[in-house]
Amino acid sequence: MECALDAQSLISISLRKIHSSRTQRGGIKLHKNLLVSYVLRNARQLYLSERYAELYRRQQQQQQQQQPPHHQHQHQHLAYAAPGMPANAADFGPLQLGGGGDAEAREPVARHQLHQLHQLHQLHLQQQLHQHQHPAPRSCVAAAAVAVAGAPAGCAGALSELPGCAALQPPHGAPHRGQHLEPLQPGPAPLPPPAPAALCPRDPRVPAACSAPSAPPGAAPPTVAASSPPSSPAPSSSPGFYRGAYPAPSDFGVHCSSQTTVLDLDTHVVTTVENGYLHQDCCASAHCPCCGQGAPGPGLASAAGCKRKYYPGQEEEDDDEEDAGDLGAEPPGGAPFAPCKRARFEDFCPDSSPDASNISNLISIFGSGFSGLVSRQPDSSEQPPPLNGQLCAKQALASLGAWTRAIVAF
Amino acid sequence: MPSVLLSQADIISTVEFNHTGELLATGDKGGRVVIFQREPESKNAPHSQGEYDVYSTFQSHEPEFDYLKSLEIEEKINKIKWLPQQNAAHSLLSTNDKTIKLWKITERDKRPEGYNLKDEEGKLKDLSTVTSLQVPVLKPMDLMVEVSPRRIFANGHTYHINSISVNSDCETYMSADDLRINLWHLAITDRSFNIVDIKPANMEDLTEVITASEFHPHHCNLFVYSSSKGSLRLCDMRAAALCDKHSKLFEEPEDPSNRSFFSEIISSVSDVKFSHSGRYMLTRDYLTVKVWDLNMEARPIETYQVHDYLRSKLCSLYESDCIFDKFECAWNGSDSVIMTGAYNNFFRMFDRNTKRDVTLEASRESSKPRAVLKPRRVCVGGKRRRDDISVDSLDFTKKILHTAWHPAENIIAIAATNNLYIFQDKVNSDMH
Repeated sequence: MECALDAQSLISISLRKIHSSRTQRGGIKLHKNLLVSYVLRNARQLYLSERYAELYRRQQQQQQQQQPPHHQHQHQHLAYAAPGMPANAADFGPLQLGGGGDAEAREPVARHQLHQLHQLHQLHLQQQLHQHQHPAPRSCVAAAAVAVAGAPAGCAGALSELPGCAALQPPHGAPHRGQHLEPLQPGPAPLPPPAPAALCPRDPRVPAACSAPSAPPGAAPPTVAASSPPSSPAPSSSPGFYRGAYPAPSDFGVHCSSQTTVLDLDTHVVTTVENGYLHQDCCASAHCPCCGQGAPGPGLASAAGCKRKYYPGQEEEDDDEEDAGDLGAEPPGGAPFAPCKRARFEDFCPDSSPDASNISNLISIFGSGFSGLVSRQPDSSEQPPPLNGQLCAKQALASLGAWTRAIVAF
Repeated sequence: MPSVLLSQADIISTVEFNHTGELLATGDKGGRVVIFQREPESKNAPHSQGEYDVYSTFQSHEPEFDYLKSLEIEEKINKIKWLPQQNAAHSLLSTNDKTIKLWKITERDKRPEGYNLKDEEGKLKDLSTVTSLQVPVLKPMDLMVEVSPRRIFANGHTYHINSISVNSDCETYMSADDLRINLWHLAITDRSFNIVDIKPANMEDLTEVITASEFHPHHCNLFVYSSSKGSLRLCDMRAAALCDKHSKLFEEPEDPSNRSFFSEIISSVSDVKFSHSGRYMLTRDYLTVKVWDLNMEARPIETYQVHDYLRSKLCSLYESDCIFDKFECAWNGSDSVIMTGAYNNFFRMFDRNTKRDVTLEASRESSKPRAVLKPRRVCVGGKRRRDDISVDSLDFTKKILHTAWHPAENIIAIAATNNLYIFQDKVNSDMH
């Protein structure tokens, strides 16, 4: 299928559709929004596939530069188009990830982390295959919600109020029924906080503690998928963490005593804690309070010279976000914060730059799941969203408080 | 060609013949219903045989506001269904997103004259002038069509009603919204029975919605509903009070080679219609129409491509929201031909026996009286004939979503935005 749009634009367009449907006459159309959420999910799958592809490709390039060829066999080239994706998915402009200098410094760590990603992706593909063969009624909307919520989840400040990543559901969780998705409500999470916190070091205020997974390392991913975390109260409500892929701190002690890298399999966020600072790979995390406000750290400096997009509305959105309240921004005390590594996008779609910056904003909004879409907030002062994606995001942020009070009043 | 300002309210949103084909009802976005009546064919005026003229116009629904949910309820008429005629009056059900109304249409062509106490204008007479008694007599008058709402079935649906269907028992009917189907009695407005409920306990788990539903034409216990995932469920009301468990599930496995971002959207069924015989079902999704045999659940027995050339344009159709257009489909009276609409004011007919299909256009130029519709063709590359339309020059704002076929004759009603076209096949008036 020839398609002029890439996954990024599709996500942006879809989110805009969902947002504008809230103000359309006659109320929210459930059917249309459901279909749009399917497109979101599909686009996200492709997006993530491309990300992994890029990650591996960079690693391979570094391998070739530094190591003798015998290392390459460890990183087999995977077909990164998710099964069922259009054949020319790989033709979409690849994404470049920032922080080249950093990656070299952490090369041995990165190699291990890539290995984990490899396992993760295999698991991903396996599950998708399983999905296609056994189309069990699964929660695509939750998947879509994860799709939209998972991307910037690595952004430290944005969702720090989350009760861990317990709120998020795996995208293909046929055996897992995640709990109710209300990431913006800091309510009681079904899972005990320590376990999720250990697995999801998203909270920048607890970097060291968060990076210590409690799972035994080296567990094979397929078996992990079938098991639930031992600390969860009920198997049926387990969020399905893939604990096996988490490296133990001891693995890294040999290479780099000041670093710990963890991979959150739910959100596919790779987090490295180094010297008390937090580096994070953010999916589409163009919006990050730390990046927007703080001085560019080592991660960004190297990227400054490369192709990257600075979004003019960034500062405005940060202001809005502070007003929104629930989105925690900087850690208390304004501790120095290593900025997020931004995903850099090739300049093949220049018109989408305002959209790209707002994806993460809208993504965090719609992380409240499908129920958030269904219930419409009484807001007579809300003007119809302009076509500009940037302002759309601003409005979405402004009404964020309303979303958290979403009630499915049926 | 001068462009005419199109009033949104005039856009036709549903078209339906009654059971004899004598009446044709249309509903529009402004909540109005217009009923056309077929003029009886007469030897005196052979030119106007069988033409449809306006019979009655009335405002069925008004815009409402749900204060509890802060929701505006559109007045657009989603569906009209005629009740079988049981006396001199005609009755129909019309529905918007939330409320179904039963309308009674009666004719008055006589009026009593010669009252004793009132004069012609209705004023009371001066009793002193009354010298004798007279019996009022009925005198003919100009035909007056009166429409009155007999029942209002409100507050039965939380989500948007997408279809209604009158049961063959002529006593009950069902209404379906995105997640639930209710069974009503035509005489009882204050309660209804919920017979299908696919709302998940957790709305996060929502994966599909109900898109259309219809009662079987002969078996009053059977009905079918279609889903956004492309499946059909046949339910038997004798089996259980709540028909969440289907009796039959009609589903075609997806072709993995056709997978795209939009696979879920284009597989969503927008309309389902039983054949007149009751043996088959017709479904419409974005690119195809399919005929299903009630005895075979695994796959449709026939699939017809309506506009497969759009398969490569799904991206732009998604952007423009056209991919969400809900096309309807129709059987002819003998179930031998099926019809559905498309873009550029084209509509398509497929002959199930000869396997021939034709594309026709509903436009002012091609619709002069007694003009023969010329078949159209969309060229998709390759050699192009003179009158072909290329895919890129299709007008996607001109869409034919609603079509209807006379129950007995070769007369079709095509709704093209705000215009209604009625085409008759004089040569082949009888069904074959």
